[in-house]
Amino acid sequence: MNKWSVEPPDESSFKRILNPDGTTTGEIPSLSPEELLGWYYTLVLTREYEQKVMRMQRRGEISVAADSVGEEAVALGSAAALEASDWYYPSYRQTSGLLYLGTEMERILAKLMGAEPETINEHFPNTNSPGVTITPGSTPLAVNVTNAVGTAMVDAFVAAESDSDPEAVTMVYIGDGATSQGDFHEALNFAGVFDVPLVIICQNNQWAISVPEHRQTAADTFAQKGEAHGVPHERVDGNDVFAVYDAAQSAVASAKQGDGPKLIEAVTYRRTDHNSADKQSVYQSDVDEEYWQKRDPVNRFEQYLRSEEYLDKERIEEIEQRVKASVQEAVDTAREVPKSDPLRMFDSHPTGGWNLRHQQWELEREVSGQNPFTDFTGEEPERANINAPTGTPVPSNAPVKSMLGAIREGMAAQLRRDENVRLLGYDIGPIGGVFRATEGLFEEFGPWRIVDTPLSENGLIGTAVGMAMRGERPLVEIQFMGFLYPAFGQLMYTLSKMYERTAGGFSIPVTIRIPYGGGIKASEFHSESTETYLIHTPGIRVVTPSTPYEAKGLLEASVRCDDPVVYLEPKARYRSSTGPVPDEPYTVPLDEARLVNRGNDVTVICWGSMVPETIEAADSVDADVEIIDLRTLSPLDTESILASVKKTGRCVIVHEARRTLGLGAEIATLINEYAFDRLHAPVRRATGFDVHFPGHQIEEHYLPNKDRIEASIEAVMSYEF
Amino acid sequence: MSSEKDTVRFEFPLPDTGEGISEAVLLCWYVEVGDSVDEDDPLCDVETDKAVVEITAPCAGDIVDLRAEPEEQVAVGEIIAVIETDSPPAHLHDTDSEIDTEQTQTERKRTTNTELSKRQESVADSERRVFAAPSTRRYAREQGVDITEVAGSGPRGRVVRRDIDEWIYGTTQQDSEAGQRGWREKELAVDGEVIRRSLSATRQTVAEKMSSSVRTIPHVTSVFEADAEALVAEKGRLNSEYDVDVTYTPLFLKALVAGLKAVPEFNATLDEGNSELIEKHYYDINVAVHTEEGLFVPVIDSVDQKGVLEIQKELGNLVEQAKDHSLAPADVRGGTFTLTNTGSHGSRSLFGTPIINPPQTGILGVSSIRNEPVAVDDETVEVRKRLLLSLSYDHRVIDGVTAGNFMNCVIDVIEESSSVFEE
Repeated sequence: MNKWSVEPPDESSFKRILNPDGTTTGEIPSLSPEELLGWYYTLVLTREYEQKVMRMQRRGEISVAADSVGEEAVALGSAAALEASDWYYPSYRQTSGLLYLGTEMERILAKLMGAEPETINEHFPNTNSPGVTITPGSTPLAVNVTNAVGTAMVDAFVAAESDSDPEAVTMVYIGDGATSQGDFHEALNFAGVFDVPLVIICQNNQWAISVPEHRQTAADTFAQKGEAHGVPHERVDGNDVFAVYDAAQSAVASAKQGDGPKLIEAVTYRRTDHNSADKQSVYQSDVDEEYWQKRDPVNRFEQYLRSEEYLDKERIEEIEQRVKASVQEAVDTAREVPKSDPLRMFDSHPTGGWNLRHQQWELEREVSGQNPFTDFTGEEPERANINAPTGTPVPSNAPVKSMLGAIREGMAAQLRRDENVRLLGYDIGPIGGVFRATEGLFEEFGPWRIVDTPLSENGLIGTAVGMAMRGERPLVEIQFMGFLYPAFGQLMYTLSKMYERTAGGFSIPVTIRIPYGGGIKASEFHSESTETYLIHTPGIRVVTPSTPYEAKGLLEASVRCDDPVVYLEPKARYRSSTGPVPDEPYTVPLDEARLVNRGNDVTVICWGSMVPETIEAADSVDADVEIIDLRTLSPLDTESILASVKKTGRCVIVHEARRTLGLGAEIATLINEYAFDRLHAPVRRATGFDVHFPGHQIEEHYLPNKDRIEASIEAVMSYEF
Repeated sequence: MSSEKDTVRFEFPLPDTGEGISEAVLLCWYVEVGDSVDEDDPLCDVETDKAVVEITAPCAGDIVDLRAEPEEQVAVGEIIAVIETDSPPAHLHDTDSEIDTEQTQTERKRTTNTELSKRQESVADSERRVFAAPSTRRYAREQGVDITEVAGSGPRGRVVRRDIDEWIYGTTQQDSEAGQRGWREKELAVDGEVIRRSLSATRQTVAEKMSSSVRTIPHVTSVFEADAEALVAEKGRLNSEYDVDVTYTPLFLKALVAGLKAVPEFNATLDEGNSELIEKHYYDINVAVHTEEGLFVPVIDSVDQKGVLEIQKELGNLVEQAKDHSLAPADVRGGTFTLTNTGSHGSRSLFGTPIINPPQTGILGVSSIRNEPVAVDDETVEVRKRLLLSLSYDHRVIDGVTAGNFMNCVIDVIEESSSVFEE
C-alpha cells in the first residue's frame, strides 16, 4: 500500500438530529427563524470567503491558507451556544465560528496577507463589539487547549471562593491529530481535577495532513479519551449543525452550573487539502467523494430551511449576492492596509532593553541604504545606571533573614496586596514547598490562592498563561530548573509570544519561580543553570537575586511587572545567605544592574550564586575590582556594563552555566563590538564546562569558585598592554 | 460614477503557490491578448511538483500581453501576464522592493568609503605586523604615532603603552609591572608642596587634540590689519533694523566664505597618504566658544547659503548648548575652517597664534575692535576703529603669498561691509 485509506464512520456511533436529506430525527433545538437564517447566512458567507481566500493565495496575494470545506457546521453550531461573557479559543479551521461571533473578514484577510498585528490594529482601530472574547488562532497544535483550561480555572476558582456559579464558559477547539500531543492530555487532566467550566470540541475530520485517524489512535473514538481524565464526553455528527449546537449548548449550560468540563467529538470529514501547500490525492486512496458530498453540512441545512419555507430560490440567490458583495468589500478594505514598515518587527517587545533598541537602530540604517555596522561611534551611552544609587539603600538595622525567608515574605506581601495573585505549583499547599518556601501561606490564604496542581510542568505553565489572559497574576513554582524542560512548548509558543502576536492585546503577567544551580550535592537534573535558553527567547524577563534583600525586592517587582518573568533562585544559598531584610513590602528595580563594589582596574560581572564567590575572590586579589551583579539577565543592562568596562579596560564574567553560549559569551561580544578600543586585555570567562553537570564527588570542580575567579582576574590583570 | 483613474500596465508575476516552490509549468491559458477580464476570472493552469493549480485574475482589466507559452517552465517571480487596469492589486510583489538592487549595494559601499575617509585614518600597516592591545592602538592613534614604527618590549614582541611613550619622549625607563599605571610620576619634577587637580573630560580631550595638531602640522601665523569702521557701522545698522542681537561673528563668517571660495587651499584637508589635497566645496565653519568647562568649537553648516540673521540665531543656540553641555558630537564635527575670537581674551591682547583644528588647513583669530591712531595719508593721523586678524595655516599646503591673497579677499569684504552682507 502506498496510500492511506479511511473507512466511513459507523453512523450509529454518534448523535444526529438533522439528516443528510434535510429531514430531522428527535428534538430540534428551539431557535427562531431569524437565528436559523443567520446561521445559514454565515455558512454561505464562510464558503464564499474561503474560496476567495484560496483564489487570492493561488495568485500570490496570500502566502498560505487553510479552509474548512465540509466542516463548517462544527464551529458554527458550537459558537452559537455561547454568550457575550464567554471565551473562544479557535485553532485554524473555525472560520464559520469566527464569522458568526463577529470577527471582521478584513482583519483576518489583512493578517493572511502578511501585515504585522500593529499595522492591522492601527488601520482597524475599532475591534470587535464587546461580545465573546476571541483569542488568536493557534498554529502550534493543542497548545491552546491548555491555555483554555487556565482561563476556565479562573472562573472555577472565583466561583469556589464566592460559593457561586462560574461567570463564564470557555470553548476550545482541537483536531484529531492534535489529540496525540501531550498538551491535550495535560490540559484535560487539569480540567478534570479543577472541574472547570470548559467545552472542548474535538473537530475530527479524520486526517492530520496525510496521517489518517486510525494511525493517530488505537482507541475507538477520540471522545472516550475524556474518560481517562474524568471528563464527561459525547460524540456527535459534526456535519449536523443541530446536533453540534445541542451538544454544545447542554455542555455550556452544565458548565455554567458548576458541573465542570465536557469533551465533544464532532465527527466530520476534510474534503479539501490540509492547506494551500498540500495535495491530498498524493496520499489518499479510494476517497468516496460522493459519500461526503451527500453529507455536506450546508446542503442539508439548506434543504431543512427550504422544507420549513424559511428559504426559497429567490432568497437563496439574494443571500448569495449579498455574500459575494460582502466578501469583495472586505477584500477591498483589506487591500487598503498599508504594507508594514520593516521596523514594526520591533514593536510589542517590552522586554527588549538597550540591545534591542540598538538593533532597531541598525535595521533603520540598513533600510535607508546605509551600512548598519559602521558609523556607530561608540559614544558614552546615556546616563549609565552603574554609578547612580540603585534602589533603596539596604537599611542596616532591618532584621536579619535568610534568602528563603525573604522570598517567602515577598510572596506573602504580593498575595496580600493583590487578590489577583495566585500561587500554583506542586507541593506548595499544606506541605509548604519542598524547600519550605511557601510555609504558612496555605494557612493564611487558603486552598484557592495557594493551589497544588497535578504534576505537569507544561500544564502548569500553559494554564498559568490562560489565567493571565483572563486577567489574573499567577505566581508559579517549578520545583527545579531541570524540570522546566517539559514546559518548553508553552514557554516558546504562548508565554513569550502571546503579547507580541496580539500587538499587546493580551498581557501575560506570569511570574515563574525556579530554584536553580548546583552545589547541594543533588541528584541528576537538580543542579541545572540553563538560563541561556530563556535569555535567547524574546518576550521573557529573566531575573536572579544574590542577597536576601535583593531576593524579596526583585520578587515583588517581578510579580508587579506586567510581563512574563522567570525568577531564578540560587538554591544553594537559600539558607546560608542571610542579611538585613525590611519587614515591609518593597521593590528593587528590574532591568538594572547593581554595583556591588566600585573599582578601577577590572570589571567582574556576575549574578546569583556566583556573587558571594566573586566578592571573596575580589578581596583576596591584588587589584581594584569593580563588581557588577546583573540581577536582570534579560534584558541586559548593557549601558552599565559598557560604562564600567570603558573605565577599567578589563573584564571577567563569572557564571555557573556552561561555557558555550552562556551569557558570558554575549557580554564579551558586546564589549568587543562597543568598547573594543578601551580594552587592555581580552575578556575572560570563569564558567562551568560544556558537560552535563557531574555527580557529588566532583561537582565542586565544575562550579566556579573563589580560586577560579581569582585566577581569571589575575590573568587579565597580568596581560601587558 | 467611475472616476478618472489612471490605468497602469500591471505585470503579474508567477506566485509561489505552495510554500517554497521555485518554478511551475504553464499548462494552458484561459484568455487571449485583448480579452477583458474581471477579478477572479480563470487565467491559466500551472503545474508544480505538488499539484495542478488554477490561477485567477488578480484584478479587472484587459489582457495586454501573455508572456509564457503552454508547456513552458516559468520561474516564480517571472512575469506571466500583463494586464491593463485601473485597480492594480497593491499587495502583489512590489518588484522595486524585491530585488536588492546593485544601486543600493553600491550606495552602501560608497557610504562606507566616505565614512572611512572622513575618520582619522587608522595608520596603515606596512609590511610589519604589530601586536598590541586595542587600548594601546587607540593610544597610539591619539598620540599621532605610527604603531608599526614602535618596537615592542612586551611578551612575544607585543607593543605596550610604555613603548609608545618611550618612542614619543625618547626616554628609556625600566618600569616594573605595577608601574604601568603610574609611569608619568617619574617624569614630573616635583620639588615642593603640590595640589593635584583632576582634569575634566573636556580638558583631557582638548589637551590630546592640541598636542596632536601641533605635532603633525607645521604652523605659521601671519598677522593682518583691517579697518573696522564700515564693519562697526554695519553691525549698528543691523541691530537697529532687526530684532536679533547681531554680533560680529556672522559678519566675519560671511567674509571668510568669500576668502574660502577664492582660495580653496584654505577650505581643504591634506591626505598625505595619497598625496592629495581634498578641496571641499561646502562651507561649514567652526566657531570657538568659551565656557566654564572649557573650549567648544561647534559647526555652522553651509555658511554660504545662510543669511547673517539666520547665522546669528543658529550661533546663539549653539552657544547655549555649549554652556549647557548639550552639544552633540555631530555639532562639533565636520567643519572645513575655524574662526576664533581672540579678542575675548581681554582688550589688552593684541593678537594670537591660534592652533589649527585638524583636519583643516587654517584658522583665523580676530582681535577685539579698538580705536587706533592711523596715518591716513603722508601727513594726517586719524583715530579709526581697527581690527587685527591672526591667520595660522598649514605650511605644507599654503605659502605666505597664498595666505596673503586669502586675507586680501576676507579683508576686502570686511572693509566694504555695507554693500556685502545679505540679511
